Amino acid sequence: MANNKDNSADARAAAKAKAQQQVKSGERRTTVIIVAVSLVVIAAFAGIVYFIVNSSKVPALADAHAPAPAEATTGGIPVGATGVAGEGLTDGAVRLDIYIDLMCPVCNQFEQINGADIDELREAGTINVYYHPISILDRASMGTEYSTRAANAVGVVADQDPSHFLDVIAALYANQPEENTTALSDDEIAAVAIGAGVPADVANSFAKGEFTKWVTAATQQASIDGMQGTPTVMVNREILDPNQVNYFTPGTLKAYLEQLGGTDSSASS
Amino acid sequence: MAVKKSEILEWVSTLVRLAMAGILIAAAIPKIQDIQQSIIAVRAYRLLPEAIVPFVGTMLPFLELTLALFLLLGLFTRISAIVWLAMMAAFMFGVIWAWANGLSIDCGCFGGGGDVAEGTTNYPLHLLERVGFVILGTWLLIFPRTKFSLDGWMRGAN
Repeated sequence: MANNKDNSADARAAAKAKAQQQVKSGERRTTVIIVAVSLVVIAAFAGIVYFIVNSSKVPALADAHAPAPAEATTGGIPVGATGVAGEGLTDGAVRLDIYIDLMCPVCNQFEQINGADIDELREAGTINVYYHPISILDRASMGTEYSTRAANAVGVVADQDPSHFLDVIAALYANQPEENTTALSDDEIAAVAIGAGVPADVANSFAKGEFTKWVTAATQQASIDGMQGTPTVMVNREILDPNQVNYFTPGTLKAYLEQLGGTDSSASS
Repeated sequence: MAVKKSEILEWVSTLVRLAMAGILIAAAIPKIQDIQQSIIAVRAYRLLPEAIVPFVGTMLPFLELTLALFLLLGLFTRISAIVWLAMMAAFMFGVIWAWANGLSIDCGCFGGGGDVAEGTTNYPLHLLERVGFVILGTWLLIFPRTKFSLDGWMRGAN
């Protein structure tokens, strides 16, 4: 008897405890749901604010303050027969676009293999070359954003000292930093440019980042235009597939462009 | 003996949960640091209309960090696992799509991403990694009970 009573008292106590726990757990659940929903809302809100702030930071390419010779639609800096940025373009020549990130070793390889050929064809008036200094490898310079800074420097040279534009690109390739290092400082980039013939006052203005936003805008535009990493090569604004024209084999790109230029000039004459 | 088994399951699930949170944080941080690159990575898949590409590219790391926070706290673990699996399904679809269309792109999983030089994209490895992530998510979906979790505290079992 007594035993039974004890059991039922135990059971009642247990049921009470369970009910209390349920109430408690229900309360906790409500609190947690409120906190969780707030968290999600805050995160979504932060993301949207960040998105808006960020979009205003990156102007459309057409609105960005660009180096004088740069094309407003593509961000390409044209170089014609004279080798001066923005000058001496040959009418009716084949258009070659080269998208480069100055941090990118493969771009450097491309330059070493094809640089002389491209210069020769350009000087002969077979091609006009549009250089696109863009920035897709900022993550490879340990937070110093070398790709953007180098592209900005090249932009300043195109703007202020266009006759040394190609020399500076070549010099930056010659001094290309290793990936995943802090790369070159602004002063070091300036020193490289001065070595390539750029006046000191122009070189020392790189650090101001006059064309930083333009670089970002041009990079976005390049990606919209179908840029396939760097280097990307376009012929008459069509991406050249390296599987079809293997431009990492010396002479291949030259032969291809000559053949195109040949048909072009025979058509026009 | 049965008790012990559920104990072990809880510990394993705890590890899985924290690993998933770590993976998400590792994926989100480089994206936050270089949001332009995150946008380019999204665009490179050529899956979404240009109008929403920048928005998706910007929001992606925020989504990842929020999910990481839930996993870290052990809050709504089962729902988190479902969200994780949905994200993985979307990413895997993207990678398979890119592969099938012959696009040469980096998956962008851990920031960066975008297009890469021809032939350097390792699609099978990416997919294998994805499969591993799916296994983690599935485990947590089936065994969502973990140690040190707000879910446990909510049940009043602290």
